[in-house]
Amino acid sequence: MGMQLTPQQNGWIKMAEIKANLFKELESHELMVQNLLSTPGSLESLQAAIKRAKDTISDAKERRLSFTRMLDEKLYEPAMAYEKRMNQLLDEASKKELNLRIEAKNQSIISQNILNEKAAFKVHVTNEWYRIAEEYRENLRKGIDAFYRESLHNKTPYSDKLICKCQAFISAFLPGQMVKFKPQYLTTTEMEIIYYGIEKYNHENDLQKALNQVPARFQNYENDLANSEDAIQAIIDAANRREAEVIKAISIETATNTLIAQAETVTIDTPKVKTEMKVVIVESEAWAKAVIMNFIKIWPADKLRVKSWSKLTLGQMAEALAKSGAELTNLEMTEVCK
Amino acid sequence: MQVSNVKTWSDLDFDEYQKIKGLSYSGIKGGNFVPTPKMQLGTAVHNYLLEPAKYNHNNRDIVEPLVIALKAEIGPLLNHMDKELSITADFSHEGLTMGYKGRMDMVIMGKLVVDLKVSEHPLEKTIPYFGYDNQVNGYMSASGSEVGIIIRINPVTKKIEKKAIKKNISFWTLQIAKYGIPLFLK
Repeated sequence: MGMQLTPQQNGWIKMAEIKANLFKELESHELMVQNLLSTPGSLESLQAAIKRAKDTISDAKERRLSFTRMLDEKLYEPAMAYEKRMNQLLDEASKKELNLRIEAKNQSIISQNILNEKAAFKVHVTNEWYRIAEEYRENLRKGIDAFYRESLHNKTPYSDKLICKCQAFISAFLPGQMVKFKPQYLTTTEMEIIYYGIEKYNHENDLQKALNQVPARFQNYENDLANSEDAIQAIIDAANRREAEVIKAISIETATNTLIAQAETVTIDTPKVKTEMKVVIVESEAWAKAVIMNFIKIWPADKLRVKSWSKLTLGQMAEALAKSGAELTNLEMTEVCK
Repeated sequence: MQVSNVKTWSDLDFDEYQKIKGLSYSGIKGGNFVPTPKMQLGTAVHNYLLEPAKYNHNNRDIVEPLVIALKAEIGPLLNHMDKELSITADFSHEGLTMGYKGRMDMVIMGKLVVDLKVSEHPLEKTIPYFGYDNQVNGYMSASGSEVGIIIRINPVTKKIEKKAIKKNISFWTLQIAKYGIPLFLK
């Protein structure tokens, strides 16, 4: 017993028969055209033959189209519909993925900025305490020097009172203020945690040391009084050299701390989002003219991929112009994320 | 690991440096090869930045912007650091001692070592692959620096990456165990 075919299977078998018949018909049309156009004759008969050949070709095309149209409707289009639906889903998912990636990238940038700022603030506080301490110590030394020089200048005789006066003079000295840090990302709480995590400079110890050093500093005072002018100049020269050393030390220390802080800051992995410039398409004659004008002016042939110059489209020209990076006239550009 | 007998040379030619006794990181790793164009670019950048008299101004269009970017990044510290300083020291550990030598790109003795790399590849990959952290740790130990930093510049994008190197002497204690001689024979 033969196998029972479904209506669809029967339809396909019939399709084969239709195809065979069509091809026979098309073949006979071709033969007819060959016959018509191969017969030598007068101008009139050739013109009549061409007209009949055109009608025959037109008829052949109609027959062919009625068959292929059926294939399109029943076969190709339904088959392609699956891909279309899948691609639509993929496009939607890709858009969602791109948005999430952009969001993740922006978040990474913010997190990185916060990390960088934390490191910058930490090094700022460290450097500022270092600078304040160095400058305070130097100010104490300068204060003693100034008092000493002034006493020499006034020819004040040496006495214990002089030492006490000098000590009282420098006791009034206070350390400098920290330069303010202008945060962009850190909260006050975050800054406080960092600030209090770094040992604060205590100037009392340095002041005490300086006070203790004053009597020793005045040991040769009476000798200096003997030639106070030269002594004053020598003290000024030594102070200038010392101050230059202090400035250098602060510069090295703060630059080193900054470099270390930058090198120690963790780099957060940032999702990559490629951006591309595109020419905004405007469906107008003016836009088409602008594309052509810019294309001729810039001629970005190296940015084009065309198999046939005769088939170059305005869209391809606009794409190549955007890729060229050149400044375009009368065309709007937009940045597209990928 | 103990470090002793530290000596430095500031004006030593590279050829002369190679003649000094001691094991360097590249010596241990076996670094005798023909320089590739990329390595030559690295040397040119090193020379122009650190030893400008040695730079022959080849590929200036590529080298100059890289050096400008590096100067901007390192800032005023560049003027305070010794450049291309050759150093030798005795590294000792558990009764063995080994002569060490190195040539540091930038250094503040007792404080900071900065090593410069010119590479398109991120430090995250090149440090473990080439063992740059071990190289820098050798410099840190010899110079008595607590901090080591690698600065990488990408020759294409000119982007700069910096990485602090943690102090770790394990590589060098292994080398002492391998190449060292007993202290009493020294």
